[in-house]
Amino acid sequence: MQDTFYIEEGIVLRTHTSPVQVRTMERVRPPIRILSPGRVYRPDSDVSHTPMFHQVEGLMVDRGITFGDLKGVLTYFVHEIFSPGVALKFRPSFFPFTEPSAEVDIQCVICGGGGCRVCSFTGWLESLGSGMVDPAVFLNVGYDPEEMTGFAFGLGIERIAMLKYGINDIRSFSRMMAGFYESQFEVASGLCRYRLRPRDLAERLTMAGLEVDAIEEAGASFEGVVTAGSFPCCPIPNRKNSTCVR
Amino acid sequence: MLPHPESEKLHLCEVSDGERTYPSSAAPPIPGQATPWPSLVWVPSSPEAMSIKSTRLRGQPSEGMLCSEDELGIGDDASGILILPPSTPLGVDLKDVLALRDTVLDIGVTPNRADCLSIVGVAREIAALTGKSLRLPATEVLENDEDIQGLTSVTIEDPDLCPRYTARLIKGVTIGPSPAWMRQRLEAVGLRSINNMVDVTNFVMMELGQPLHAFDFRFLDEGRIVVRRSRQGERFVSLDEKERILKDNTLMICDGVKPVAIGGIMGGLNSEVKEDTTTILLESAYFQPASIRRSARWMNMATDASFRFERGIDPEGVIRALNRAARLMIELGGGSSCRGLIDAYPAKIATCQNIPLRASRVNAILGTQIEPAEMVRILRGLEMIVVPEGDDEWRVSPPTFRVDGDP
Repeated sequence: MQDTFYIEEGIVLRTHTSPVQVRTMERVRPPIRILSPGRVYRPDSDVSHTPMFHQVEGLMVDRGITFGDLKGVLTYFVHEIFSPGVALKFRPSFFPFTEPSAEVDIQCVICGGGGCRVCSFTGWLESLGSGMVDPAVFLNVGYDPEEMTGFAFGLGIERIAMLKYGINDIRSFSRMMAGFYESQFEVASGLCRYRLRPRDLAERLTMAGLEVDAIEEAGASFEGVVTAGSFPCCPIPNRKNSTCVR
Repeated sequence: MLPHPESEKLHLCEVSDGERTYPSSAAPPIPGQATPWPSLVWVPSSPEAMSIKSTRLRGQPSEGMLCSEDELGIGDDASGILILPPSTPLGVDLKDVLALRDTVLDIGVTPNRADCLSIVGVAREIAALTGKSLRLPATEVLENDEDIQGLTSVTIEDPDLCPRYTARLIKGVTIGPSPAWMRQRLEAVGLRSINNMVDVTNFVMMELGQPLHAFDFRFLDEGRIVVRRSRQGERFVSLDEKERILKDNTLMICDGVKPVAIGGIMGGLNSEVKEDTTTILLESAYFQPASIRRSARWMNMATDASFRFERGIDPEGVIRALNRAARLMIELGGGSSCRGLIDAYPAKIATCQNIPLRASRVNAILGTQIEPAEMVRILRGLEMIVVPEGDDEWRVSPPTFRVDGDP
């Protein structure tokens, strides 16, 4: 699901902080409540991606931990770091080491859900990945999955900061710029233009785990093109000097 | 149309969309003929429409443009104006005529849901979400009197890499361009139209999720298929005209003498469908995912076909796709299928069966209080077979297209 930064055959730089879960569980017996910030690496570089950035991993393992606990912790976090009452959406997704897995969207903090350029006019921003730890992971670290359950989540620090402080270029974090802290987001005004059925269908598919990335109209390049017929004109007596045909 | 006073190639004409008449100039569809063409494609000048402006073309007023396929971007034919069937009504938006009133959803399918890499796969999900019933495409095939068993055969020498290979023989086809509805659907998902037969294989792959391949039967030595590993040093030229030197680890589709395709990845130049092809051997097979992934990485190839085989296709959908494609090929190219099909299925493909599931455990992990009856209803709505086992437990068998289970 992400590209990996290979140094050479057999050596990679980690793409996420999830490996910390395994290393912790191998050294420590449950209950576990950890947060682990760290550097991660992916070969992307543009206005919203840098090859090296920072994630925070969270892991909670104990008897009786449920998906409800995961939702509670993440909801509390989002309300504390953004504002109380920001809506969250838990969307079914897939990570190889959690089941069920969810991606968490928050109500766009720029437009409040009305739609703007930052949230691609959807009203929602992707913010976290999470899920219940897959029992196979527990077996591999010697925990009994019948006794222990747990959840894990990961978030990108730069992304959260960009949303919270209105920074629109991730590369700003590694550049010293005068006036950096006074930078402003542009807010595109206007309501979302929701078409009825394709949007509804896209929403339902996304909430079922098939995330709709884009909706396009087929034949967009044919706006205004119509069928027509051509008919013979009257013959023109003097071809060379003709100025009209009727 | 009348000859243009200022230009040899252009003619003057009047164009009518049923309401207004416009003067224009154009190169006539059939050079030299000044007869009326009642059904053309016309772009009246307006800011939105393809940036056509009202202008004077060589001294004569021109209010719009009659277009060729190439100018519209719906085909490669640039030789003349696109002519529609004579019965086409005038003044109708082109999008309706070409059935282009459609919306394309771009879906990010997670790696575990390979069953959704097709129209029917997504339609199945929508049916489960909305409670509507799923309508599968028609698969009845027009067959002739010749028994396929007497005409060709399939031998699988390496069943671990290819556990199932099915084929039909379709005779009497005529190769030509695909109809507009098929071209539009292919282009909407980013595929180029090649010819009617090749397009059918791509179309059914997108429709049902099963990659297919069409061979020109006359280029298959001994008229039969052998499925085997490549040999060290064997050379092969794939459809993209690249010569590849193989090792001994790639599953190849061969005829009685030579390799004719890299199984599950790409066909060969030596057996591709040509303009004068009349008999097609149609392949629909299951390839072992790890083998396809290894071979594709090693040869640095990635195709829509290999993408699907790597993630696992539905072992029980192989024949449905074969029949669907045969039906469409006959519909578009004429001809008929020889009677019967070949189904070489030496090794049963393992699928997930009888997964133990406890209602109490579901609620404990999720922190919910879902009624067991509701769980059963949801599972059965997803085509899972649910068999009670004791008080709290079921054995659940997912349908074979759910390749995200681990057998």
